[in-house]
Amino acid sequence: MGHQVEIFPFDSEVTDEPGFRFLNSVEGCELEVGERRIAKACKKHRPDILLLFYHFISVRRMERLRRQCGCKVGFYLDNNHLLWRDTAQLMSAADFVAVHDRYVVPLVKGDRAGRNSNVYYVRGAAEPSEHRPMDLNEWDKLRYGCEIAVVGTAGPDRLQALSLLAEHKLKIWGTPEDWFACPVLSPCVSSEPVYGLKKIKVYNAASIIVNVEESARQIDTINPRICEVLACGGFVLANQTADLENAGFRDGESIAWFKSYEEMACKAAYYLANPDARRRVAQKGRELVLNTLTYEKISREWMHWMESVCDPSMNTH
Amino acid sequence: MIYFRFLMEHAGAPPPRSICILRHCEEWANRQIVDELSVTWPRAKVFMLGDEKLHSCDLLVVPFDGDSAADAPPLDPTFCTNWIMIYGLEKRRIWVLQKESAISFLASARRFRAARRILAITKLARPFKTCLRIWKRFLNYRS
Repeated sequence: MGHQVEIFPFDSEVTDEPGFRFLNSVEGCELEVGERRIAKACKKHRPDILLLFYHFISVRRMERLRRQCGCKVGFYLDNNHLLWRDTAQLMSAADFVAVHDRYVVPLVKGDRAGRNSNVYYVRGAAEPSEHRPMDLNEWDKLRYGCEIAVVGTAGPDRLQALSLLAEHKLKIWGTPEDWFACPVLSPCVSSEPVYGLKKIKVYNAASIIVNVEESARQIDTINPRICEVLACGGFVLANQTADLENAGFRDGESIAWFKSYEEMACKAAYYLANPDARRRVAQKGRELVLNTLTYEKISREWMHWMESVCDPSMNTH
Repeated sequence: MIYFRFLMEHAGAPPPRSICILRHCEEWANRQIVDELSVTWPRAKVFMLGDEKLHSCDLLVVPFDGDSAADAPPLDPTFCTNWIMIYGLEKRRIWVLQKESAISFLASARRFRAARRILAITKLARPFKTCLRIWKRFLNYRS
């Protein structure tokens, strides 16, 4: 789209530095050091938009940066802790807020009492060059293959839901300590960390990928995992959310969803016994993701929206 | 894979034509790294190294358990490579640095970890913390 994007990875630019880690462990100074480096990067690149994916800087510093650089500041709200002090302050002081959960849009939106009228909902998506069907060798099939796979950390909702699936060949990829609270599930947990290519192999090798949302983290959203699995040609069984429907997903056509954990267990058994139905649904789901939910597509829409915020005369929404 | 390409570009490194990986004790880790790098740079030659002498290569990959660079194994300064990828397996904490920078990065990570331990044992952490707070107030005052 002709925009120049400079990425400032906070970890490699700030927190990974051994000297910083040392000072920070003695007396937390992440904010002080971080905001100085962000200010330096802004001075160098003179951005039109500074997009923060965490409250890396204080409100005071952010307002000063905005004045000095003449830029707009956007804040991406990554979790639902809206009322957390720093999050709440940055949310109201930013020029716009991007959220990953549609549920929080009305909570953030407004022009009074610390609200922000410019809110954009960013759906989860997939990157087809990365998330794709793969030919697996025998070692991969043996290692990653299973009836039901789950990737992620444990939480109360997941522990409760997944214990209903323990009768199947279930494989859980996540931090083992998190899952040890449930003795039924702990034998299914792999101690290997999973990310990158390995995650894609897991999505390719499992018959069903179950996605159970933790309600404390997200409520009405499309978890990127759903799009990633579908882009890999996998089959997804996920919580029903309004936004999955808004995005065009239909139960039994392009995805399988559940409204209760009992329904989840029934559908898992049904689709394990019906591989043709599984393949048909996975195929439709993949088409939908490739047509509408790739990062290229959602970024384009998001960019247009940000342009309209920066220059209201361009606003076509 | 996009993430590796990003890390290399961000570090200013060209795409590697030859990659050496220091063998890790876990076989899954070795397979994982070979797979990832072979997919990312299909034209690159990828070698796995055990105790034998190091080849010369464009990129040396040093896997380690954990996510702190202080946990990485010591590097042999005589090997012949341009770039080093320090690869924390636990949370995929990866640093890509030029050879000399990587050696000094790991050395300072170990030094600072030792310093933290010394502060804890000698109980000097508290007065040091006070000094840092004064420094922070001074920085805030100046800005």
